[in-house]
Amino acid sequence: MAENKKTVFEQALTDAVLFRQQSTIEADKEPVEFSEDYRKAVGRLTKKTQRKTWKYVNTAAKRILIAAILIMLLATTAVAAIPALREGLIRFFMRDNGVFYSFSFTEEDYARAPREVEIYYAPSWVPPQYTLFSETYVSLKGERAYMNEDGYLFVFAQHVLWQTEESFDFPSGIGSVLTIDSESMEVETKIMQGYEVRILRKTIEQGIEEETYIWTDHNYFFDIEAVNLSDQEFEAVLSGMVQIEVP
Amino acid sequence: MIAYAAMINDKKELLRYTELVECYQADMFRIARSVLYDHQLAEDAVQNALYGVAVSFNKVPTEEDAARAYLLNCAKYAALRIKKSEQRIETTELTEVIEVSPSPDPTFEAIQNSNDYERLLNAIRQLSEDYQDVLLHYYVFEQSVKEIAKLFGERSATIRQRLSRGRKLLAELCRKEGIGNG
Repeated sequence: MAENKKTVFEQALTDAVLFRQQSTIEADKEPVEFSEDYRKAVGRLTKKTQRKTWKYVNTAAKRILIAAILIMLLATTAVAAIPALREGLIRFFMRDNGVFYSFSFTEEDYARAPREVEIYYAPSWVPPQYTLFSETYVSLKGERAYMNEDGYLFVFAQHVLWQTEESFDFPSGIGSVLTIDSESMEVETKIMQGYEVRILRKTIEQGIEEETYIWTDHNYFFDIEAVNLSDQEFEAVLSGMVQIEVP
Repeated sequence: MIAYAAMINDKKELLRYTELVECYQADMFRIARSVLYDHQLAEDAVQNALYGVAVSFNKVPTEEDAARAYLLNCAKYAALRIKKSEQRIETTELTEVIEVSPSPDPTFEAIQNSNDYERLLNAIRQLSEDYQDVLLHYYVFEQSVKEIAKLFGERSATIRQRLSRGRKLLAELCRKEGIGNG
């Protein structure tokens, strides 16, 4: 983020662009009336940004708070991992503290997993009418966002396994903490193509259900956030996942 | 601390994002409409721009005037990206790759250190939009060439070239204005 105190050069540069932009704006005499579709789409976008599925615990205070909650959970509930439904199943951990769900993995997984994304994945098939309009590739994350004509988003994200120093203090060996707001959320676990997939569903409007699918290959965590996505469609997305070269 | 290009993370950020949307979406729309001449496409451009702003909210300048310039340029380049896709304009590969000079350029340093606001403004306003924008995003918004390329829908080589040429042109204009002559 830019510093608060700008140099004279930076101020002059900013002002030059602002003058130019202002003259473009003033040249447009037509009133601006946004369509109902636009208003709905922007409203949904604002809700989407507010909900922020993957909230990385990025301050010491939050880490300590979550560490405390997890220690409490570990002390009061069965520590055993979710039983494998079949041999070789790729599974991970989920906890519910009443406010959010957290997802994690074992210390062994963390030791094996890459620290930065080495292979980026992307769905080769997405539900009809969705087109790609945003891609983000950083060392710790890849994200592809698609939007349909109604402004609904389909977002695929890939995350490295991430841990805090405190995480390894847990006797269970549970590693990192990733969280998702659990308010009004229904959770289901399904086995799909050898992966344990957590499906989190929430009704956002009448007839509009938002789903988050979460799974891991023990190298990365993956999630898809979508609207009214069926399990069949998700399986189609999952089976069409391909490695991609990023710029 | 892990610095993800995350979407909005807390209520304070959400409040600011909402305020920015309310405050600037009409002007963002006008900027987009000036590029696309189409209501629906301009709305699409503003939506795309707002999504981009939310995804990289940590890039939004904290100062109000800089934030305004940033958002309006996000709308402009979202519109240009749509225009390109509508017209199926292929971005031509530049054979000439001009690297951004890693070593400090004394003339440009003099420009950056100048306190003569009026002359600087006069010189900058003589630059074309492309050069003004790339310099603004690089020097004021502190974005990398790669980030600018993504926002503008251009190749990194194109942005490097614009940056290099923009600096040279600005140095020339500033010399004419009497800045950086020693």
